[in-house]
Amino acid sequence: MTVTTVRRAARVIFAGSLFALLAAGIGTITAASTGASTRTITIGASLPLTGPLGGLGSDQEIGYRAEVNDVNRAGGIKIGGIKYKIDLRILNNSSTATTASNQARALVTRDGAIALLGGATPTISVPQADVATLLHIPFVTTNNPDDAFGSANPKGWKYAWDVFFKEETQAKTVGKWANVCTSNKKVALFNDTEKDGTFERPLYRAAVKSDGDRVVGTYTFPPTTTTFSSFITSAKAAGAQIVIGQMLPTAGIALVKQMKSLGFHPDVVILAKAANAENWWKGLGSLATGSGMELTWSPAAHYPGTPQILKSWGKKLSVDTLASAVPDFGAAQVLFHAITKAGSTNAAKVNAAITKTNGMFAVGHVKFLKNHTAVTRYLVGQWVHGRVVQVYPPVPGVKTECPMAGLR
Amino acid sequence: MATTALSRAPGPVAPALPLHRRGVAALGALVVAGAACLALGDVGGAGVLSLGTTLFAYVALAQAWNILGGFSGQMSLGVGAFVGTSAYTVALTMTRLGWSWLPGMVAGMVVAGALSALLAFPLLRLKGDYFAVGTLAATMALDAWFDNWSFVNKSMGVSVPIQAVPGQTEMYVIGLVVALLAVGSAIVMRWSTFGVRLLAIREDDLAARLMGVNVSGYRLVVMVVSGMLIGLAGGVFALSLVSFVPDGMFAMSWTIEALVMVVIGGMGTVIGPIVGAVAVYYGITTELANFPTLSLFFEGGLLLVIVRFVPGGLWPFVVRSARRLLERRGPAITTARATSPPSP
Repeated sequence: MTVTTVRRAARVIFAGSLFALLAAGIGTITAASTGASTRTITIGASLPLTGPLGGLGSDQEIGYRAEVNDVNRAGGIKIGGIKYKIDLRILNNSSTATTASNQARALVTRDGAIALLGGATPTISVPQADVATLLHIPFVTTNNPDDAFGSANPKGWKYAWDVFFKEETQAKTVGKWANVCTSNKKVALFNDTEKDGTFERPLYRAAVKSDGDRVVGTYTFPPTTTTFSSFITSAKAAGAQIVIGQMLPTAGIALVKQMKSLGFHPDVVILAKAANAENWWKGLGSLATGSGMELTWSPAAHYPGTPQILKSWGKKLSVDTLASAVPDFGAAQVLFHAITKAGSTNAAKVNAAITKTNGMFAVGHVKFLKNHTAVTRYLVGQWVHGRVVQVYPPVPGVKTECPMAGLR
Repeated sequence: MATTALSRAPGPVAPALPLHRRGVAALGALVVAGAACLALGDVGGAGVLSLGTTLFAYVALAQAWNILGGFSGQMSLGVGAFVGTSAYTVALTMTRLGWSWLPGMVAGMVVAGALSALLAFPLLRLKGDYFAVGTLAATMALDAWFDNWSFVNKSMGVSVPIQAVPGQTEMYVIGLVVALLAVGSAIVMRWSTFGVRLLAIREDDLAARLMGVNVSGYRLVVMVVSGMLIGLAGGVFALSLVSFVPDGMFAMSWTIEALVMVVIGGMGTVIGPIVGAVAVYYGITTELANFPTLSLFFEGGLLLVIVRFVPGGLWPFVVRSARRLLERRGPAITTARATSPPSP
């Protein structure tokens, strides 16, 4: 076989593959436009399943799918006396805001989603909420601190809703937990420049000040930063024994590893957003022991449905994964509850039903405020031997382990 | 990358008219194609409108890069600089000055063009890889600046007022007009005296200078036109995305997308970037949206295959293949081929 023959064959294969790909594409579009089963409703979600937010996104998928499976197992959502199964279409936006926005649009316009569930963090969720607002499609999200989300649209959201905690509550709770341990009360703050990190920085400062602590270092950096040696050296020289921060998981894992290698051993470390996924333990191993983690759900919080959640998922999933996935489970509950109450898939009616939400869900009581956010509780957990336990507000029989063992 | 440039030059080396007759015919075909796309938007549903808007913006982006890289041989890695600057101009004029989208987009185009002109002074002193690195450095510098500039809300980004964003049908038309402008500009550059001189510069700038061509002037004009067209595409992206942050709008990914589309479709041709945009955005990105890793794999794999087996790109390959097929059918066609110009 000559080189020319091989080239010709390669060209034919290449041209054939491209044709097949385009034909498949046309087929998909045609199938989408003709519509799926009449007894199915489509819900879309563009999630950060890979990239810097991959850990959070994967837990979101677990939460959303769990609720959809529960609903479908029970026969589906009842609308006008007929039960509709839910077809949950999940796309991976690779932690990219522009992709998240494009995918949210495609889920509605191409796949016919009647409502959207959101991705983690304002960077991903806000562009999706904008698309939902433009297309007049209900959008329920979580994993977005309330004020960062609520203030992202100065004119006020119409179709977008967020179920999560308030930044001020977060800062105050973290400040109080940091003082459970005995330390020299010197605090180093590490915040990235994402919306929520920027929002949180002054609140952390105010909270630790009101608890009688002193901020000896404030370090701000772009979200994708993974080199912190100069900041760590500065914090160490300033004698900080408490490290509080908010950053992406990749940044947080790099920060703790570099703290260890540079001999910086603070007594208390809590890095919001970074420590919120199982990847935290996978990335750090025993180094993570004793670090803090923010929670919106824990078995010790005794929210409604907790025994059922533990019974159906507890064998398959660790508590830390559940802690991260249950808020998403709760957000999906809120949306499906509204669809049922609306008795219709009409966007305006579903949106009106979301407005009236007032009840107990997997993440506690949900009632939306004027800025379209529903405030959940803020709990602090601590990583102990690869598991997360709630330590604040205090739980009987559980004590915060001080100092942070992983860095010793 | 520059292969058979002068062989790809249109007809006679020095056409008598500013726009060669093939260029006039191509502009006519463009008008027909535009009308067809407009009709498709009328009958298509929301899916077609949404897909079409983004696709048109990518066609404009790829064509703008092609004008600079394919026609004049200046390989830019700075697409993000113009997309970002224009997008921010659109958002800021609409939020701070209360402008509507049209003057906002015009302002975005003008600012992107002005940025091109500004950057041209230092960058046009550089050649080849140095020029490419220079454009990349400029983009990174702008990204860092916007990330830390209070006026543009730092890394928290900006939003276009949602109530001022045109509807889906209007967005489709806006995207189409921007794409038509970009393709029309490419046609004019391809089949005009200006375009022939540009190709001469691309192939050998010293020879072109000795022939009396104002090399710096032509390069400056092309860079500004390319920047303005990228700015227009950036405006469409701004209106589609509504809210964005510096890291997204000044990202390297804009350059990569444009470059991949042009190389796959056919660099230095007018139709190539359109083919590339359809193949990459519609054929791969959209259809493999569920599998982003696979999508990137396909994109990279396709690029490798193209560079290795079809270095001229898809469109010239299709044209060549069609000609060969016709050649086998009869000598009359072979004779016709001998006088026909290369692929557009």
